[in-house]
Amino acid sequence: MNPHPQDDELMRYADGEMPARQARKIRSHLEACWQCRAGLEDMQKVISDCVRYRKDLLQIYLPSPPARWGDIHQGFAEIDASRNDVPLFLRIRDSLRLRLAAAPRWAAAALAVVLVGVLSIELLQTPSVQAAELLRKAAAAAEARPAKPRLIQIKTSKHQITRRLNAAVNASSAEAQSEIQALFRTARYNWNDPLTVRSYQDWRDGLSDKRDEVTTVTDQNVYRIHTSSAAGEIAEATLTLRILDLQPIQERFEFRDREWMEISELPEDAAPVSEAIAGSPFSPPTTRRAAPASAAVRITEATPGQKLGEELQVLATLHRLGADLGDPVEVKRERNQILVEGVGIAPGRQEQIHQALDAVPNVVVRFSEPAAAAGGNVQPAPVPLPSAKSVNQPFQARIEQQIGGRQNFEQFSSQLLDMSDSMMSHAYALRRLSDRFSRDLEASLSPADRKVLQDLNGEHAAAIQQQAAQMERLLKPVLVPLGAIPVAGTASKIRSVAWQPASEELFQSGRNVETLVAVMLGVTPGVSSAQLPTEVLLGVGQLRAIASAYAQIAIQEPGGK
Amino acid sequence: MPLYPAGDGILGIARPERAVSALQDQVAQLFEEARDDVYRYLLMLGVHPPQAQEATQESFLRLYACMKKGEVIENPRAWVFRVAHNLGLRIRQKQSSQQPFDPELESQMAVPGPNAEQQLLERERSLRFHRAVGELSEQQRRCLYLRLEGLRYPQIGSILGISASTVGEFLRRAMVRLKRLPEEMK
Repeated sequence: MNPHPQDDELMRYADGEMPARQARKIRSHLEACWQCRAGLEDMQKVISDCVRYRKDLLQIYLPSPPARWGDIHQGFAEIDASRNDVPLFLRIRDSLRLRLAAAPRWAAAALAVVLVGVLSIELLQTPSVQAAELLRKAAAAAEARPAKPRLIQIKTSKHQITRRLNAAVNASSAEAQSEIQALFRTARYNWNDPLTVRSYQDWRDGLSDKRDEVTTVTDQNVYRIHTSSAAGEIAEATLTLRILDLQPIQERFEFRDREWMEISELPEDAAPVSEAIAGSPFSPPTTRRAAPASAAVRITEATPGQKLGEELQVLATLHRLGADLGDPVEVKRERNQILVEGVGIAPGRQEQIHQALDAVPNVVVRFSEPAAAAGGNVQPAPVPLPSAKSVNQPFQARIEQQIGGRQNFEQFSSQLLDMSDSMMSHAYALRRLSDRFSRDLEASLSPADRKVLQDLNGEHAAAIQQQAAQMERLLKPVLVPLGAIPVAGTASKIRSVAWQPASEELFQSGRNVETLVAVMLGVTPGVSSAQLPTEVLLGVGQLRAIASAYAQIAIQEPGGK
Repeated sequence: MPLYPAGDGILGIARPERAVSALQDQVAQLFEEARDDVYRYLLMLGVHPPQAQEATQESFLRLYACMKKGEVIENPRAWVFRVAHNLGLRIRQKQSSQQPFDPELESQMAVPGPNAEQQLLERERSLRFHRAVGELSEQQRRCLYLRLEGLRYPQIGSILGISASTVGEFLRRAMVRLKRLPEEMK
């Protein structure tokens, strides 16, 4: 029989979120295992409760909309008929007049409030405002980035040149360069630094008449700002910004005389400037001799070990802030950057993370939905348990009797579950570390980075050990009188030599304690046998010992004994 | 560094324009079916009823505008929830000085007469479950509400900006918390 699936696997199985092959394994296991089937049924019961909650409570008792739902076809018609130059908020205002006409009188006051909110929101959605706002953010992001020479390619219908911005340009490219430069001059566009948000902003701001459109191209991870104007030499321009960091990566201009120009950023490791012009009648603007100068500012590609090291430093920083334990913060690498993303993070915590990471090169911190953060990151308070009358589990009743009543039992239960949660959050953090830093990858880290990893490992292990010790202190005086046999000096049972597989053993030990405690408190169904008190104490003792042994393994060098 | 979340803007990737009337029917039908769900979700986000109603309508109109442009939207219902979620959060942000909407369900639920013991038990059971949901973390609760609306893990993850596996973990923890309520009190 396959090993028992974990709760999260059962959850994904019940929700149909599991790959078919894995789901088949679980299904086959469930057919053979009463215990897991009961666990699944129990989960289904909670799901049924949730569905009933939505149907019987939320759908009935949440207030109805203040106004009658209007005919959405009117809204469609307004969108169809609207011209782009009519501000969206005006269209919405007009449509609200129509659609909410039949609303009760009191709704008029509410409508006034709504309009204020909606107008503020919709201002952001008017294309010109949206473009301006996006440019403003991109400009701010650019200012926050260290200035560095960039390699760009400029193409027109006749020429193609490569330029290194913020670096000397060789005069040998005079002819083509002067032609292209003339185009810029005519268009009143900044020749010195064309592929920047600021240059685009300056050009756009100088237009007396303009229309914007902002597009998100999700499969390319870019925003496109398209600006057209009846004034000036440039009829249309498009600036492409990378979503990740709002860095401009491409521009295209359509001139009134049908000439066009494309500017794009080249990677630093592109062909040397002198060789970058292929099939162009234009000779290169720089020579090989210029290469050493550019090499001085070349951004060298980080080795895999360095990249991992950077990521590790970010993880260590988050750990110092306590943001790696349950906060919905994810760290991932995208190309040459480390993306730290968080959602619903409390403002104070966001600020902490920004302060700690904003100055770190190649790290982008991105929080979404900051308004959601208010109270969003609060650990759940213990749920009050029901009255003594409702407790049928004999073992829980015995604990209750042992510790002096229902109120004490509730406190005891809450404390234990919180400790268990906290312990598991460290176990999950360790598991993530071992998933990310395999033995091979760990070996590629620098000694300093390995030390950081060891410290992280050690601190998580120590926290688990501490939580286990606290649980033991809380449990012993209650469970021993109920028949638990105290286990002194539990020997370490860790089998793995390397910390990566050992972390899984530690995780499973933690999971075992979490389950036993949950069964004991009646949180999850299970067999409360006469041995349960002993099993709980034994499990906690083993967890403490394994965490201690793990801490020793974690400080060994990769491949060490 | 504040950035725009992906897909937050009004966007479009050119495709042949579809028949407008069929598109209108499609969005109108979805509006009929899902508007109350979206509205309730916004209330549970803390948006007050008038704004929640407006944001709901606006979400569907945006859907129409985007589909009309030819944007491919695989799951319009999930898309509407995502837009509504973002709108709801912005409304909350704009009105940060105002208390979030609290439905005060306890006062909404009438106390049954002295002899209606069964109803009283039902009421207590529902309220206890409601309180337990209220004591979940914000993220667990949001995952739960969105799952209750039939959204899948990747869709929920896309709305909340987290991975599908994190959604699973939030839901698992929510289930564990809710399981604490003994059967007769649910």
